[in-house]
Amino acid sequence: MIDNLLLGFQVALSAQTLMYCFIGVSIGMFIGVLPGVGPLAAISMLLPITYYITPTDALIMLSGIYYGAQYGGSVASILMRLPGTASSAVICLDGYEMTRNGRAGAALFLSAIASFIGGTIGIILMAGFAPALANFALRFGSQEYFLLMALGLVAASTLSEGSAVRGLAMVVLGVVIGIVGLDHTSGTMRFVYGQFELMDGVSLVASAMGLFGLSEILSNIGGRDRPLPTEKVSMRTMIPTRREFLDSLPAIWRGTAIGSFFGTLPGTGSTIASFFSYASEKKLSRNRARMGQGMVEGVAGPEAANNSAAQTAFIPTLTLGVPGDAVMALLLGAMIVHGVNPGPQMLQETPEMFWGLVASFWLGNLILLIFNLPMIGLWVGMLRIPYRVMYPAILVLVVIGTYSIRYSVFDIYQLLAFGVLGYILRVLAFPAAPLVLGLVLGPLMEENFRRSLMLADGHFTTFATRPISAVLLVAIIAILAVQIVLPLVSWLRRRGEAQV
Amino acid sequence: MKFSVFALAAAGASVLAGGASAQDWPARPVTMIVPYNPGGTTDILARLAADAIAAAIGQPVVVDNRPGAGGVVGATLAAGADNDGYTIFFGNNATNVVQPLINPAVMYDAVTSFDGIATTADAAVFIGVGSATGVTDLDGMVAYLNANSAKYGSAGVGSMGQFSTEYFLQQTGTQATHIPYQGSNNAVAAILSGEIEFMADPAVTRQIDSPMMNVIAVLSAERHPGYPSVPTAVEQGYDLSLTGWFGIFAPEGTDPAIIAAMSAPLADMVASEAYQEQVLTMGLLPNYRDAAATDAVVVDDTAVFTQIRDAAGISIN
Repeated sequence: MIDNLLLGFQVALSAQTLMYCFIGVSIGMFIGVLPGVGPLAAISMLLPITYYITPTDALIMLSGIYYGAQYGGSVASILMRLPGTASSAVICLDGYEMTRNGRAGAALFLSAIASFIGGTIGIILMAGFAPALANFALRFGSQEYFLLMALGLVAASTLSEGSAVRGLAMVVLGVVIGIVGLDHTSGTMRFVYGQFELMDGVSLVASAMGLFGLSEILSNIGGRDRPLPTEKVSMRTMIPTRREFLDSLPAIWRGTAIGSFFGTLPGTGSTIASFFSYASEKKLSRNRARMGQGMVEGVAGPEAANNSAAQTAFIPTLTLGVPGDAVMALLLGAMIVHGVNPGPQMLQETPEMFWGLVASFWLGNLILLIFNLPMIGLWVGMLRIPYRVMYPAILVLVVIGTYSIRYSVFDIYQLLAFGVLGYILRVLAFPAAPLVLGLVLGPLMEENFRRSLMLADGHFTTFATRPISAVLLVAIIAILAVQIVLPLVSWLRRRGEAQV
Repeated sequence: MKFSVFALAAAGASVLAGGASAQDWPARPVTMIVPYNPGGTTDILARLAADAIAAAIGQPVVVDNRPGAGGVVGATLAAGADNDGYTIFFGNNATNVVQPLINPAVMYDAVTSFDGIATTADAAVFIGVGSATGVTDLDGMVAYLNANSAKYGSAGVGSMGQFSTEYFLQQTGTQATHIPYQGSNNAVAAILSGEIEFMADPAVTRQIDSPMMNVIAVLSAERHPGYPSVPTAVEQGYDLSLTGWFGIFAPEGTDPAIIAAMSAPLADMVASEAYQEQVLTMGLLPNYRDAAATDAVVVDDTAVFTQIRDAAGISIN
């Protein structure tokens, strides 16, 4: 283990490799901050350039873009309610409220710390237990995926401030919108109306940016040019209070655990991890009653979750040769082009590559942390730019970002439609976050539910007879029971007291 | 000076000539539509072909990625482009054979909407079986299928994997239930976890060394040089041969001289050692077909895939 890590650092610390790591994480950080432009576009554009450098350097740089983007993604969420990546949509909820409370600096500081801790623990898991974790992940079949997603949706009703009914209604709306597109199980097109662009479903990035970012801009149009409270940027206001720090620590641990788990499961990933982390903070944190009003847990938890997920996502890719998402598939493709063969044999065949990557990931996280903290002053300073200058610039960036995902003008219309929808929902006081979660989880849930039944020849008992799925089923029933029975009991008691 | 006067006169003549003919082509850069995201297999091959064509015709070939709907977005765009030789299309057997067959919403026709320029690579299909089945060859596979109600995975409805497996089942008179996944990789994971028993897909080659999967056959005419330990189906006594391919097309009615001018440099590219090495590393097989052979493979595959489709009832609607 120590020998392996020494080998890894030997590879990663050579001047040239370190430079590529730095370039990678810087690009990642930058595209993470830019709304809409994701790591997928950046990595695919840079892939051809890497043919001219060594495979290890190439992968270190491309991976750096991937996890670097997770660091940057939260910046625009916190400052402008504009999710840079889909996985940071949920950070808008408390992050932007913190900005409105004048705590933008502290939110950014804590998000950098949470990212670093989450990322570091993800890397430790990868270094110590990659093969074991990959085999554990393989024990999750379609039945378990379905129940995991169901558990998420049950918990999602808590994503809303206030009425659980409104939250639930938004989850359902999200699931309904998620139905649009090609049904992967039967090959049937739903609500596509001859638009091939809709065959792949509604764009997740366009929906997240429209619902959060554009709706914020729309609701400020015609309003007074009210500047957000900006602290005088000094080391003192940037550093979180002792209280904020203590509150965020448990959220970071929980977020890291959730993120590490979802990262290793192929087909899930950092977006689902950050939503689950937020939902768990709504249930478990000390300030759960005030979540959504600018609580640090709502930033630190999801931020730790999406960064640890970004690291552990490498586990199935490298040890099984099975990439969990589109970006990982692209990285796997890059490895194959470079003649590296990821899979069970990688640890034996090319240990210097595997351990070099592990070591570089940690160095990359360290660079990102060191890089990020001094930037906070600059980011917060951006809040002083008046709306009339800032918003047109943001609009241009958002539109370019949406277009860049698949070079489609149609996606810009989707963005605008979701912006209008988001504005209407705001006016009617319906929360947008459960809608995005429904959109993410709905199609996955349906696909896995129907596949489970196909695998079990139509027997519904399949969900109860497998050990892991049985546990998940019990957990769902328990949560539902608590949510329904407890209010019922207290209502009956109150009624009883009233009658006496 | 003499030369530039000549060039000027030539340019003037071409303006007078008006439309696009082989004489003045190429007067400006050529656009190559690639129906997938940058960085994927098709895109990498497309960029190699674009560079080879550009070097030969003396004009840049600009790759324009138009992903979406399994390649149909880009293919539809290319089929409707002017047939003046300035728009070409880098497709594969999914966009140019399978999609028009299974998806009634596709507006272009596999055979009549495009003129073939060349193919540059083939994708051999491998059969991978979960090692828990104990199956190590095709005879064992057929015996297993006769004794068990097995399930096979694929990258989705209408994928090459589904067609290949259905073809295998039809030819051997066996049966199995299709379980579609989103993409090859999720189906590979499902074999490793034992959720499904087998699949036919190029992606299983990554699991050749895995103790959890046996790669038992390749459905190409010859063994793949990168995976020489995997026997062909023909060697095992099964007359099964079905390969995917990647090829360049022009909108129907493009001047044959223009097509020939783009096809010739691709023959040299595919013959080059550097290209062969790169394509083999990617798990593919270099294979050049000239314009006529490319048209022919579309016609032949359309016939074969129509038969498989009708027998297995594969469709998107």
